[in-house]
Amino acid sequence: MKNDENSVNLSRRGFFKELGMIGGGGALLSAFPWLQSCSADDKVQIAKEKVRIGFIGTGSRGQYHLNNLKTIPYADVVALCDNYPPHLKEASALYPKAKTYDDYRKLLEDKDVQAVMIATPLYEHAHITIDALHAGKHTFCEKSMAMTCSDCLDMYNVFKESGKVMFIGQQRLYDPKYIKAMEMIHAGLLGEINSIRAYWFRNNDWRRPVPSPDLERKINWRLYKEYSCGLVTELATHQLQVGNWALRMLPEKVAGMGDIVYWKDGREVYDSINLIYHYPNGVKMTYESMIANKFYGLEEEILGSKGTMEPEKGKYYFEDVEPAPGIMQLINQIEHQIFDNVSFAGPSWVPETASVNKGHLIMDKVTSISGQSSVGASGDGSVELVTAFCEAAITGKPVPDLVEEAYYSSVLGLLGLQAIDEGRVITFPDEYKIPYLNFA
Amino acid sequence: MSYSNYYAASGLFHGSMSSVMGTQFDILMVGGDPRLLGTVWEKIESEVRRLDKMLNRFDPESEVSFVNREAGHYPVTVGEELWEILQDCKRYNELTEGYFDITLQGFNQVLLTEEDKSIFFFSESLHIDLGGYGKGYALAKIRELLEENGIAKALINFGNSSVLAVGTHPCGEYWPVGLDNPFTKERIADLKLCDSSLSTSGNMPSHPRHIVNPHTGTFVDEKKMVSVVAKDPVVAEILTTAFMIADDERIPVIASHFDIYEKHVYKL
Repeated sequence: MKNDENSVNLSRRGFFKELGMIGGGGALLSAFPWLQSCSADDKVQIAKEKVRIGFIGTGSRGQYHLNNLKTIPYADVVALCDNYPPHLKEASALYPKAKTYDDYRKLLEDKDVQAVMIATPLYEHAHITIDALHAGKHTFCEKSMAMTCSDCLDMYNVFKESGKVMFIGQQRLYDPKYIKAMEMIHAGLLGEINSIRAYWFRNNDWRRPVPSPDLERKINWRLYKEYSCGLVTELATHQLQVGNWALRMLPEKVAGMGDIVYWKDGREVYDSINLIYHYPNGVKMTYESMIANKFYGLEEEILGSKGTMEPEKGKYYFEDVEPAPGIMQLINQIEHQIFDNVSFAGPSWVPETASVNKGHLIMDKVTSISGQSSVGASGDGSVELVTAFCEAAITGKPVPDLVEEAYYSSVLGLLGLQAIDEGRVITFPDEYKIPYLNFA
Repeated sequence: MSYSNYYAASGLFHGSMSSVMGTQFDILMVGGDPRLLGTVWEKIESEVRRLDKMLNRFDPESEVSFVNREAGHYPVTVGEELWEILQDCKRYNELTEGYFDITLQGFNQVLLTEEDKSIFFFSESLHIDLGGYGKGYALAKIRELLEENGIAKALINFGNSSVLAVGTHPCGEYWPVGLDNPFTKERIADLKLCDSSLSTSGNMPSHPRHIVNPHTGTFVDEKKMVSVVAKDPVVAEILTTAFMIADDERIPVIASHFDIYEKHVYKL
């Protein structure tokens, strides 16, 4: 699973430069607390050290991260663990010096391991994460957090008690185009946000080849309720987080429906889900995912009174008026206290009168993904996310708000599934509220 | 149609209007009470719409359209403001050796009568076009509005060709404005504007010939671009048109009649 589409290693400086966060970055970073984990002293420490990582779960997503880790200078993968030998062998080929384990508990006993990264099937996230934190390891666990709300809450509580670093794989929190988009939304560029329409469509059976029939459930764990919650945990959680992030609010109710419409092949999880999340101010986020047509791909359409954001595509649109080219760039510079020449003067300019609103790019260079890969894509924030985890594991300082963002996206996905399964509107249960945003 | 947004972190107000004077209007105002900025924006918006309504020759209901329809038949009495504008245009026509000409055929075919503030065309086919004047005039009006309301830092981009800078960029000693070559898209100049106005006129790939020489009736088809920076946005506006047409020897002579900061003539 080599990810060879120009794997990037964005240094923090380059990362912020790309975002236009040079001079006035401080004020803006306060809106994205998880991005400001490093003081000057921390940076000196990070530059001198490597964090020794034990990696648990070396399947496709795991190998995607393992490839990326090779580009992160202060990461050192010292141990690998998988109970499926072919995957472990593939990972071992990437890191021949790393010790190998078939039982994660043995890896956690390894004193050489300072931090663990977990990319196992969903049903193993909670107990491995909790055991890792108890073993004193800084822990990165792929999203979604867990299969039940109470497991999510247990993970959160153990994380808080442990004082260790915990990261959940919500890479959009580190995707430059998302950060930029949220900054624009929070600055009021789109006016008031009145609706969010999120969707993720694919056209494939979501199956992996199975070497022998007895491995069906192990390999295709995503399709069975014992190991997976299907689309809500595998896809929706990424996008539910985006909705909360844009609105800076958590929804209090969810309704939904789900079915197996097309892939009637023995799977147990839905291949088609529709959910409606209701926020306290009356705004709804609708969520749709199905895997028998891929035409619309994936997006979170954020609809404001003055404009529309499509962060997956890295574009935004004004409702009626198109500011002249260059003006948005100048505004961005003033917002970041940058004094630089913007080219806009010239002979009289006649705006295009075409009825098609082509929109503007969020950033000069936007990397967008097709959403068809179930492994991961380059330029989606994953490298930056793992880089930040390595930095935090070296300094030992947990990153603010990241776990809360991930917690609520995981729990909201699970509540959506509950709404579908029980055929009723689910109100966010008080026992699963952790202090954050409007649930603080 | 219009759009506005206030960026609280930097105290920046952005107002934008489309389809006005044939182009796009954007203003950035920095500092001060956001409610005041909002009120000033509303005033600017209605002022620019009002001027467009008066000066736009493509709007059949505009005062200029009425003049264009009727002044070939009888002397048309115009409103006080349009009268002042016509006087102004006549004066600039003389000062530019006839190169700035709202008739495009020779200002001597226009009779302006002070007593009844009327305009009469000696030729029925004559019409006036304030396209090379209106945006500069609007910017002058806006500058007054900004001054009256104590707005100390503002940048206005009127369709790229007319830019007004009030005060400075919040992080610098001037407003930096880049000028691109419309043929190559390469940066041709970095201009520093501070309490000044920049006007640019030129031929473009999309419009390789659109400026008429009033002395010959032919189009200017040189690959040429002219920029003028002046205190008075009207002066900058009318001079760029004149310099597009006038030959290289006449430009300094014409320029000597005006108070300007910079002039640039680019052969592209």
